[in-house]
Amino acid sequence: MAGKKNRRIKQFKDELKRNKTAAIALIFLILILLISIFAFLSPYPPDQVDVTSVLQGPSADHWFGTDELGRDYFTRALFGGRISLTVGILAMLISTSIGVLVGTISGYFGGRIDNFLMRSVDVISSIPWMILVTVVSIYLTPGLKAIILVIGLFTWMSTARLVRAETLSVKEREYVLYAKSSGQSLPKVIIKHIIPAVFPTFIVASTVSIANAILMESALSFLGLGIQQPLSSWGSMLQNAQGNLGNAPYMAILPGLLIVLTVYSFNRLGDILRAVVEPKTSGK
Amino acid sequence: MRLFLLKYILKRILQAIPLLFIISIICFTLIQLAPYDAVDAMTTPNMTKKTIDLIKARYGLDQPAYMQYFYWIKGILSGEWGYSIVTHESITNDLSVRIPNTILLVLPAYILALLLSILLGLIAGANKGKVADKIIDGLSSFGIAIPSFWMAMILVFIFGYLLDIFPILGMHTVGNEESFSDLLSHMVLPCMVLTLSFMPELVRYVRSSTIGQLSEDYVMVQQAYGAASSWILFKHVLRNVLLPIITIVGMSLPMLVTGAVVTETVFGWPGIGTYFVKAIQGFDYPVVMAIMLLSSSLVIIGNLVSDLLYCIVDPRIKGMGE
Repeated sequence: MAGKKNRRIKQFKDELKRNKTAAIALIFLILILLISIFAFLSPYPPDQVDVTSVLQGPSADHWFGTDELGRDYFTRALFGGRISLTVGILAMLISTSIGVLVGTISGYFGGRIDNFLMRSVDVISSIPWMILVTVVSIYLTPGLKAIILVIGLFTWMSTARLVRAETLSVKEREYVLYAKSSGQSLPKVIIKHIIPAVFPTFIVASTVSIANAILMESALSFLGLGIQQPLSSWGSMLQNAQGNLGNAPYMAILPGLLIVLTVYSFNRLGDILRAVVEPKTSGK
Repeated sequence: MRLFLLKYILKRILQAIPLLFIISIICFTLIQLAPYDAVDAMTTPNMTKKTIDLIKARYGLDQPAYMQYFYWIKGILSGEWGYSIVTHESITNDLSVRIPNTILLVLPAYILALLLSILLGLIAGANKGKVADKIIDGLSSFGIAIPSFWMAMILVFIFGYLLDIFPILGMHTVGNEESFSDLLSHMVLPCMVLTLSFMPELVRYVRSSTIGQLSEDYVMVQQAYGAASSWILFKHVLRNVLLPIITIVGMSLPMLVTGAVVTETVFGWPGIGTYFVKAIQGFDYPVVMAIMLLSSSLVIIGNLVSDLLYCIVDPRIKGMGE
């Protein structure tokens, strides 16, 4: 097992060396994580209102200008990144956990349970995500918790399908059959043998899932259905920027660029992970 | 063979019906869970208790929930979609005004996106690994990461504020409702946003299916006969690439209703998207559920149509003999 892991890490490094944009994407992601974590080091507090410098363009003092309350826009974008990334990562954890759980149970037990779970997946998938997520969110008090839950709870269907397919093939392998016949308990077989086997699928699904969650959060917040004041994410900053587009266009640039680059980088990361995990299907 | 096809079509239709049924139950349950009383949409504060009871009895609202479900379904099927609790307008009327507006945006944008994607996807796929492919594929993977509202804002800024050549809000200039050219100029920016946001995934799809087709035996045979590569591409590969695209087109059916929610909001376009967002913000439950029911039904019908189309154009479809 250890040898296999090392080989994968080595493949991952080789893939990074070969693929320059992927390497840049990875560096960008590490950077954006670090600066979101250390956003408090900025000389301007994110909520400091300064009526003397309202809607100023980019300058040496304020790299990306100030907003309509005179708050430093760069600092706000960093704190917005915290919210966007938190939503992305937590929603991904919820969604992939449910996906892996439903997928393994469905694939492992088969029969009626499989049928029931997969038909439920069909039903939930036939409601467009935008409609589903907004409808559920009107039954909850809007805010950070609600948006994480809503995105996490209703985007696990594709992961469940992938993991189920994987489980179907894994459960017929000799070592799993042996574990079963040697009298190991069911939960033990699933946790010790099935889950590790579907883990690579899970990792690939999770990077794509973060990217999608960030996009969904930004769209919902842009529509005013997501993150609420006083918190702000990249999406809600853009909602704010829309009103000032005529006189302060720079306000639309930074949060938008950050969303695009972050989502792009997560997708790229997903691509190379997929190439490492399924060398046959990467099409290279 | 014909019988086989008919049997498959029948089987797929029978599969779709329970799905529609369950979706309708979910929508109905959500309406029941909502903190409002359906009769509120039809009453005014100065009605007496007796009148309200009469209205309740007339619409079956005094009946148990399962009976109400049947009344509701009967209404949906006969085109009576209920009333908004905010504006007290008939939802059927509102939808019949707003759906055509959305289609007016989505349909031209989708067709344009499809044509451009087939062209770009073929070019990229045929030149795999070369400069043209790197540019097209790189731009599409970037395009997937761009939120449509951000693209809309950038285009509004460039064409609306900076160059001031296209209007950025609504469908008509006030007082100029009949002019067709005015409508067209209002359509340019939202259509551009939609086209650009539909394209990346389509391009990627056409590209990978072109690459797949080019490795098939028949291409090799043609090359061995000395056929020009452009002739192979347009005469043989294109045909086989277009077949699976039919499935994607079928599955895009629900986009005619929900494909432009965010874009419509940015441009204040009076379509189904702005109607939905307003209903969500105003807790207008009957409107929200009507749109949810409509869009999910379109997803199910779209999937059905795409399966059926595919098995008609390519009868070799797997699983037909199941």
